[in-house]
Amino acid sequence: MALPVVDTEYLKEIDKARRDLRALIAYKNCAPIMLRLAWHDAGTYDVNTKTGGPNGSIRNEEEYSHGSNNGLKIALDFCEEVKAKHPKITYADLYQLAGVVAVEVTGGPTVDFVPGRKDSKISPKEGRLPDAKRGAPHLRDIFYRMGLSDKDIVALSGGHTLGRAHPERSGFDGPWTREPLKFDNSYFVELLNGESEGLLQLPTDKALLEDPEFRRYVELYAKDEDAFFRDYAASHKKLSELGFSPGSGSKSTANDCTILAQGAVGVAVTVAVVILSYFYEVRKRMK
Amino acid sequence: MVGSIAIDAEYLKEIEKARRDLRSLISSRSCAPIMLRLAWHDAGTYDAKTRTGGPDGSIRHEQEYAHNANNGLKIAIDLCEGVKAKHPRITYADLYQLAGVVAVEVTGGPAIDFAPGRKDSSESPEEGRLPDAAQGVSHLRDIFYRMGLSDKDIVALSGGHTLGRAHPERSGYEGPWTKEPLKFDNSYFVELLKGESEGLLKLPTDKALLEDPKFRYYVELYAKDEDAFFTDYAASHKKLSELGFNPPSL
Repeated sequence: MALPVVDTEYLKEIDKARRDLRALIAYKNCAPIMLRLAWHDAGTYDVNTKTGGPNGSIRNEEEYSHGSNNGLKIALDFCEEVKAKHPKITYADLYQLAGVVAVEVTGGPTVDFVPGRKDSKISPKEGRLPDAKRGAPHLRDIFYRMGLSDKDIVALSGGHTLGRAHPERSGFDGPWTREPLKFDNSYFVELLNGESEGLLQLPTDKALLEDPEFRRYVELYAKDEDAFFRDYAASHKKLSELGFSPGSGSKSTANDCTILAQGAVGVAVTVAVVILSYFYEVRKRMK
Repeated sequence: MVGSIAIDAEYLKEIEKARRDLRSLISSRSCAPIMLRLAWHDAGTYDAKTRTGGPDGSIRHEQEYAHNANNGLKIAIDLCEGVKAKHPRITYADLYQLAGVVAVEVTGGPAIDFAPGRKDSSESPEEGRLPDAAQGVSHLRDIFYRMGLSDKDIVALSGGHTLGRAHPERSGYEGPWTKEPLKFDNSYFVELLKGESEGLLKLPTDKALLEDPKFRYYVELYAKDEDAFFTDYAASHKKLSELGFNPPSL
């Protein structure tokens, strides 16, 4: 599929889809599963082979049937409602926009969103997303493969401030925080608190405490929510743009503008020369 | 008039945090309609001649929230207390207007510009400044012109009925105006032009918008052009939220 043309019309549709997503996500209280959808579409990226990434491929049955995607069909179906009203926007953009709006309506930071991702029908093999039962080396394997850093790993783990795990989906059970529909730094506070009645900590969550590099960020974010919001917004944007070059889709519009501008300059120069020559002639004749 | 307080960078930061807290609160509690009504009822008491009333937080006092027109609004006042407790510096007047702006945003409505700095007042106007749903065209003009608003504002702001419902134990009326009372769109106007619909409410003041040609012009515009409605609504809502208020600069 070719890159979508991100013209004024496309941008207007994105804004309308954004508003529809706000209403949908607020009304259905489905911010957590929408965030997970965006993450699972993007998180398959391999920076070496340049495969996977936020390209809408998760809508293929072969991909949403992966074990790690259990339950995400619910989010795909919600997004279909919005796609139906705004067919022009790509699924890839729609899913990432949903992730951004999910963070926003639950009180999280504003994450910058650049549209223009193209859709792909090619799904990567299962196994590119993290296994919740593993530890620090596994997390690094998975996230470094995407091209992300230690800081990204910890900041993005903060996404567990939203939602819960389900026995029939991941096998784990329960929310990580006391307010699973509120985006804040309580995930990190709870992690440092240790085991808590009714709250979940996956092996991969606990791994953030066991590694000194990761732990440094956990402690920072637990005591400074502004720092967490700032780093989270940057990491989320990075994740949502893995393998995507914002602005490359609008190159054609930029070229058209340049050509027009060059043409206009040429006309102006010619006119100026004609006028000046005329005055020069007039002056010569007056002498 | 609505006094202003001195604002600094710290105050603006608190406003942004309160905005995020309000997004989360309003989404998770599905209380956008009553928050919008709170903002409207605090602001809508303004009298442009006497420069009294307006968005000054006075509705938090029992002498005002006990007015008939404000039945049920204690719920919204209590919800806002949670946010005020986390951000004590921001005035109630700002908080209520910010809640109104966020209510429109999270239900899919237009972005409304918000300028902070309203000062809180403990003086409440007498009962009777807000519109009576049982009345008609001339009453609407009396009430809204008194605030300093126009025919366009009257119709655009009536579009706020895209959200929520009336309650028998509050206003005496019952039911939502539209099929999706938690979705901010132009369906209020579409339904108005359709006529009576099973399960949907039309107050006498809603029907009045069809009876007057100037009002009806806007109803027909907004029913066919949602972008025009959103543009006009955002402007009118901002105007209402700033009646008698001169936003201070940093």
